[in-house]
Amino acid sequence: MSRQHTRWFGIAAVVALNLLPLARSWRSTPTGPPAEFAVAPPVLASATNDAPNLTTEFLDPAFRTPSVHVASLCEVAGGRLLATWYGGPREGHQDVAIYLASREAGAAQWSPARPLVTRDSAARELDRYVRKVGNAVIFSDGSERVWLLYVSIAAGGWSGSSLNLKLSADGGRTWSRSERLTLSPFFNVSELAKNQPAPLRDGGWCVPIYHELFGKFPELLWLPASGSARAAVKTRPFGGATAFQPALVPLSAQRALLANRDYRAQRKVQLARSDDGGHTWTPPAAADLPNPHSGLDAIRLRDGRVLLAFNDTAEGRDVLGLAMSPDGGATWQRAGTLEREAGQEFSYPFLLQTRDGLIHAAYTWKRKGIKQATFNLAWLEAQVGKEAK
Amino acid sequence: MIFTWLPWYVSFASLWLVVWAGLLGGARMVRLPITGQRWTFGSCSLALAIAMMPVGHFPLARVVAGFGFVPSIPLLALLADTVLRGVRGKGWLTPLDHKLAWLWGALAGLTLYPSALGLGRFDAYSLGWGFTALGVVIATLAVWLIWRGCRFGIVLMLATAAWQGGLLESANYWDYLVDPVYCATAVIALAGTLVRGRRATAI
Repeated sequence: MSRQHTRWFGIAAVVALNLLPLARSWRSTPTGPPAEFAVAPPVLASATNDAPNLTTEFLDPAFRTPSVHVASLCEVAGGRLLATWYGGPREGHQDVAIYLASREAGAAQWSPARPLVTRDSAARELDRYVRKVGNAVIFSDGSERVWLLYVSIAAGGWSGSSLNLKLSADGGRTWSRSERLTLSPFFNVSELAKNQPAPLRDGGWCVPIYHELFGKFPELLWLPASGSARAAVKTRPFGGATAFQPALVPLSAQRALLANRDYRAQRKVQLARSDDGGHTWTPPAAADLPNPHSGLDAIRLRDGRVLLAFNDTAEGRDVLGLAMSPDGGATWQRAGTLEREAGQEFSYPFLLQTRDGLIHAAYTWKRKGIKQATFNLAWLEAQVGKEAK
Repeated sequence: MIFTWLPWYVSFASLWLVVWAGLLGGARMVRLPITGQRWTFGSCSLALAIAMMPVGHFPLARVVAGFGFVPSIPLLALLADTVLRGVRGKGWLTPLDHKLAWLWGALAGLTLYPSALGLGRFDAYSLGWGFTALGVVIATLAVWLIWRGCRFGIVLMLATAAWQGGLLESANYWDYLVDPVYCATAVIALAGTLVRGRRATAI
């Protein structure tokens, strides 16, 4: 074959192997994130008219490990609640496991916790070396379908984390094998999750995740409705050394708020906004609420207000408070204190409003247990009134 | 994606190539006579055995995969060429292709990694999800290189084809074009070339 023929053959190969498939993927690739947030419908009126009520309990009071952290909650079909957290000898220990507990609608207490992911089970399912597991976030669309996103680490500390996905089609009773998500070009490390995702109208999810290797910053993971790890896409609201560990609050189909943990000297909750379905975001701006470099969570209540759970102190994690915003995060009012005890740790809150209108806050209690506070809107409003006085 | 099991095999093939190229390079450094079928078969088998060597509950290749090392297609091509050169005395890529490969590895890596690790608002890694201008740029570059008779253009073409076929675990196009080990090696190789060039000029 002459050199000229070789050239034409090569170019024909590029067209056949690259350009034609590229053109095909052009048609199937959306121009931006496939986003329209699915905002929850208004809550039942009866739930909002009740007398103020707050109850607290520990998730599986009999659960005993020296250290627990990072709770998450979701509601599945029939009003059943699922909760996950990790526990073990200490944070980052190789014997840490991710635990799952459930609570049937109307049941008096949570089921005993069972290990859902251990270092060994993750290694077996991912078919690779895993040194330890960590943060997990459980979420559901309210049916029997449940997603679990969890962190695994092969080397180093939290900055060596990768994210993995497990699915359940029967309300968390049985689970698929773990699938690794490749989200970073640098050894696929430093991808973590802490807070719940926002559901999308197409059945997918927008999960707030974060990166913490050289700089700490928030990211958004767009999961398709199919749950395919290979179809996941990641975007960045803002970069560099800014704020991280975001909580994503969809305000409407296109508008959203991102509340972030602050690790710089300012020590304020950092807020960013999007008006185009999470495609672009404003730079983070400090809210008039403290953040002592600690995890927070925020949700949109079904009446449209935004509820934030955060450590309401400039230093330490010994006060866990709530704040509400009636105007999408522009202004905030204190809405009660869940915990206050000097020198103790009450941290990493996770908020959920169930279909019955009740609001649940799960959080780390002195690292000894995961506590759940359940309250109604009437209680929240009463707290706002007290704070105003 | 064509076959879901392909990335699993690629993790073995890549470590096998790394070890085999290392064995051949090491033997050459200590001036061992490594030509002939026996040496080829021996070094190939030894490299395969090392890649499959059990470490804890896993073969070494899966332990390495656990640490997130997934070689890009240009790095695999360079490793394959190094092995070919060691076994047959002559590689498939020319010295110009090698220079282009190092240049590509350095440029792509230095474009990608700082922004992907948070330097600034823009994340270059986002260009690798689905169809973006990156695919057109790489295809154009591949056509131009092939037209100029550079075989590195074929390597880039294969990288795109591998991405379309889901050869690696990642679905992001960048991971098929460059990886951190390739980038670091390319930067070192280019720096070495520059230093040698300056020394030659000084003499």
